[in-house]
Amino acid sequence: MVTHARTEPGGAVVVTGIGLVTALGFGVEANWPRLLAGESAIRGLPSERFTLPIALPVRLGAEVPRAELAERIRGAVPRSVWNTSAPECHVWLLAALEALAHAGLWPGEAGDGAVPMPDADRTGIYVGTGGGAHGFAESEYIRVYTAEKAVQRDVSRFAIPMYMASAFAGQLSILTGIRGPALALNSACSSGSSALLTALDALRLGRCDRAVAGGADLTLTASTLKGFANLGALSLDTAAGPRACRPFDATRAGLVLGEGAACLVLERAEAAARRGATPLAVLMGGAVNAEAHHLLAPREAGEGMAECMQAALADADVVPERIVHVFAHGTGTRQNDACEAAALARVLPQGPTVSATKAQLGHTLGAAGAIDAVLAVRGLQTGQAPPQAHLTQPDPACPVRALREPAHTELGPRGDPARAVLVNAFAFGGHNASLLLGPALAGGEGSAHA
Amino acid sequence: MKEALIAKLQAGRPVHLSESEAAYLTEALREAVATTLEVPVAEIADGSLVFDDLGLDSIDVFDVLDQLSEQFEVPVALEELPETFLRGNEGATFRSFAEGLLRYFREAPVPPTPPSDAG
Repeated sequence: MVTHARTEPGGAVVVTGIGLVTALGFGVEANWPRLLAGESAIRGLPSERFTLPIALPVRLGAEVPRAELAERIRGAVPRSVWNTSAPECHVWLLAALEALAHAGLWPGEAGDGAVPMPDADRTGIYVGTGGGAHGFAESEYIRVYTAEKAVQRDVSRFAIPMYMASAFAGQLSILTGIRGPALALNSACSSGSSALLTALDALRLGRCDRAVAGGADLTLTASTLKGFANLGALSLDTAAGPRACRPFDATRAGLVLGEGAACLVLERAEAAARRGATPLAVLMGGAVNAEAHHLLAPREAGEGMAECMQAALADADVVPERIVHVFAHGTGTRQNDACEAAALARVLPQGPTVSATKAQLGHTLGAAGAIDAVLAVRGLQTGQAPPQAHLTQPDPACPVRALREPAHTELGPRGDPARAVLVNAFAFGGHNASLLLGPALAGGEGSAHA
Repeated sequence: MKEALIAKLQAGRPVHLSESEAAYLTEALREAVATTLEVPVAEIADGSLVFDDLGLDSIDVFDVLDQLSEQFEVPVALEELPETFLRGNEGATFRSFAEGLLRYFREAPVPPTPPSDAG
C-alpha cells in the first residue's frame, strides 16, 4: 500500500515556494484573506458560457475568469509558450511561476529578466491533472462544427501538443530550463496530491534535489458539468448560489465544480540550505492507495480512506495526536463526507479541527489536493486556516470538529515542531492520497519529526 | 484590397496575383513573422536569415502560417510550401520566404497521392 520511499537521515523535504490560482484570485495572497473570511467563489454562470447542444440542469461553478487568465499568461510568458498551450496549461504555468518566484528561482512580476535555474538538471516537474486539456479538446470539436469561416472548421495545427497532459510539464521545462524528470500524473481528483508524493519519492531517492510539483484543472466545460450531473454528484441547489456546496452539513446536496492550480517548490533540505533558501514548511510524508472496490464510491465505512491516512502517518513517522488540523477532501456529497468523517474518527479520535475548502473554491478535481497543500503551508506559517464555510446544520453522520473561526486553529506559530496538518484527496476509481505537512524549524532546515 | 484578395485566394489555387497583391501578402508575412517573434516589424529585413538571424524555429513557422490562414481565410498547407520553410534550410532569408509563399499561391495544388495497395 505505501509506495513512498522513507526519508533518509538528514534528507527532509522542505517547501520553499508556493503558488496558487483559484476562482477567488491569482496568487496566494489574493486568495488567503478571502478564504479566511469564508468567501465563496461559487456563482451562477451565463448560459452562453456553455455551447454544447446539451441541456444542463445547473450552471453553478467557481470559474477562473478566462479573460484575466489570457491577459496574465500573455504578460508572463513568451508568445511561443502561450500560443502553443491550452488554458489548462496556462493556469498551471501561472501557479508554477509564482511558486518559483516565491522560492527565488524566477524573476516574478517585478523581475528584470530570467534568472538561470540553478541545478536545472537536478530539478524535476511533477504535475497532476484530472482532465488535462479536456476543455481545449471540447472547444476544438465545437469549433469544427460551428465556426463561421470554413478555414476555421479544422483541427488546430497545435491540437496534439496542446491536448496532451504531459505538455503541462513540458512547457514549464521549456520555459524555465528545468531538465530533470518532467511528468504529468493522473489519479483523477487526487492527481495533485499524487504528483506531490511522486515528487517526494524522487527527492527522497535522490533522483533530483528540487521539484516543482502540484496540480491543475479547468473543469467548467459543458461535458464535465453534465457528466457529474448525470452521475448524481452535482449540487443542483441553484437557489443557494454561493452556498451550494455544504460539506458535512445535513443539507448538503452535492459538489460544485471549481477551477484552479497550485504549485509547491519542494527541495531536499540540504539543497535549500546550500542556496540560502528559507523553508516555509516540511512535507513530512504521505501515502496513496487504491480502494479495489468501486469506480465511483468509497468503501462504506471509509476503510480505504482510513488506511491511506494511517499509511501517511506511518510514512511520516507521526503519531495521530500531532495532527491539529485536517484539510478534508469534503466534497459536499452525501457519501464522500460521511465516509471521510468515519475514517477521520477512526484514525484521529482526538478530533482535530477540520475544514473543507471546496465549500468556497468548488471541487477543482486534480488541483484540489495541491491547493489544500498550499493552504496548509500558509496555515503553518500563520497559525490560521480557512473556516468550514456553509456549515449551519452539522450532520450527525459526519462527526467532525469543523473549524468555525480561522483564528481558532491550533496550527501554532512557525517554529513549533509539535504540529502537523493532514491533507486528504480522494478520487473516482478509488485513488486515495493523504499528505502530512509540518512547520519549518526556526533554524531553517530539517524536518519536524517526533 | 484585402477583401478582394481574400476572395481570389478562396477561389482556389493557382491564383493570379497582381504586383500590389503580392506586395500586400509579403507585408502580411512580415507582420506575421514579427508577431511570432514579438519584435518590431522593422527588424524583419528582406535579407534577414529567418532561422539563423531572427531565430525562427519550426513551431514558429506553424504560428506564422496559422496567422496567414486566419487573416486570409484560406488554409496554408506546410507540405506544399517550398523547402525554404523547413528548419534545415539555414540559408533561408525573409525574401526567400516571401517568394516561396507567393509561389505556393500561384501554383496549382499538388493532387493527393492515391493510397497504395502495397503492404
